[in-house]
Amino acid sequence: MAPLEPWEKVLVDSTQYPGTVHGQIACQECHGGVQSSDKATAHTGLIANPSNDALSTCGECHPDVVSTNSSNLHTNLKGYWTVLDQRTSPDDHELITEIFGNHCNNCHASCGECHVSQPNLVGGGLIDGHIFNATPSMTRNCTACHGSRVGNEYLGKHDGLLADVHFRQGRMTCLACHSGHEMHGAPDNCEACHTAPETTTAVPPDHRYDGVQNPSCEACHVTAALGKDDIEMHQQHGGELSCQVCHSVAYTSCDGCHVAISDTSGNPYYATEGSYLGFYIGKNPRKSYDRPYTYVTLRHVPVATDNFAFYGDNLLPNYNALPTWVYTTPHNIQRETPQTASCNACHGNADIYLTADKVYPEELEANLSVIVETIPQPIDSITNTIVITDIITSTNILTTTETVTYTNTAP
Amino acid sequence: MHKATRAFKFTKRPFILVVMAFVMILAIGCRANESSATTASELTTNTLPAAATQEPMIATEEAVAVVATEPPPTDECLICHTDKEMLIHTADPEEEVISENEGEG
Repeated sequence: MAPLEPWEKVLVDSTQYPGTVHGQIACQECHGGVQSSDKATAHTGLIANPSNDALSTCGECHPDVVSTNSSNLHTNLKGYWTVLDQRTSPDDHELITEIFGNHCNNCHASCGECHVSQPNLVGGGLIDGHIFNATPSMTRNCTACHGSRVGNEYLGKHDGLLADVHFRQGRMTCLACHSGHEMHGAPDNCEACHTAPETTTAVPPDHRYDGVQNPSCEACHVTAALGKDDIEMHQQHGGELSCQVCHSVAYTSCDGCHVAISDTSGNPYYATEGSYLGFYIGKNPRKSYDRPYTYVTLRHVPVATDNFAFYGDNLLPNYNALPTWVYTTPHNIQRETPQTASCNACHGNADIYLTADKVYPEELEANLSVIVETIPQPIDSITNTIVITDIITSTNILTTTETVTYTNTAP
Repeated sequence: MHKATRAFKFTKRPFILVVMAFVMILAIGCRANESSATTASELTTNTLPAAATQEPMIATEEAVAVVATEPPPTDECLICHTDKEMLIHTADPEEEVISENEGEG
């Protein structure tokens, strides 16, 4: 996406904007400033991004939306704080808050950064002459921020990998699955399915993968999820595996994001050790009622023990509290993938599992809960009863012996 | 012939009223000063039985005419921000920002 010219960022559509609802509001009502033909005078007290204070601006007309803003992960960035709180010490909270403000807060998105301008993270600027778009642009809003992983995967920007079938064939934008309701932090209407006495209000999520799974593949692909269709793999594995285990392809993982303040410019910056494509099945670190799967796809996040070394030593004392290979839902779904080629595409294929040998030694302890110790054995033949004994030793950390008896159908 | 004359007399008065109303409207629309308004008022007063009620109508119409001709308040913000050339001309010098970030964000 080409950056906007300075004049493009502030050019208001003189023909269409005045006729809109928001065009009836005087500029100063939201932006402050002074009525003057002199630029410097006019910009005295200017508020460039009034929706940063949503309650006072947008909330005057949209109280229903703004009232749930505190639950909006785009606003509160609670997902970051959830993992930071688990890895850091309360004693360092003040310094961590400073680090967060310098390096992480850019991901905060105000109302305007979805509905009228590009995110500040990519330079900001009006998208449509100040006309407010109820539906944000997939490319100029959503993937402007969610670009390096979701955007590239969904739009098929990786060489040799197709775009997600929901986009490629379904022409579905982000909003097809991620409703405005979800984006605004509004609790789902639990009562639609759960009547009394289970009637309750969903607790605001503390992470993108917390709480009710919304959106979920199962919401549309009901028979597949229940194993009620004619696809044998669905019948065998429905509910045990997340859908992405079979229907995703290689996605981006990242290593070691180190943050600092530049000596020359004084600006904050980051440097990652590397990014790479890969596909890894591991044990579900977020197994719950809402995400009951045993095996899921995992993505490596760039957390390292020395992420914040610029600011001080040992600022992640509880580094091992969480795995560095995390639950992920790659947005590159395909009907046919290497995994769906046959049962033995996964059974007996250690390459696609997150085994101990694929984990950095310094991260082994953190990832014990997600490492796959036992690779499912190859499927031999129909009606055979196979007794399997596996002994796997991984870098002196663990040894397991497992005996499995089951009857399999042919691939 | 007699019947025709009586018929003509019967329709003459409404016709005069219509003509006078038309004249009044023209006079109000073309009026540029008080003297014209006075003339229109006099005409209205002298020719129509409901002269008393016509004056408030004229006053109201005057007020409406005055309001309709006033221009909307100027928004200095939009004068500049809807003019591409002006935005280019008044833009701050663009500083080249060299990103020091490395790798995917």
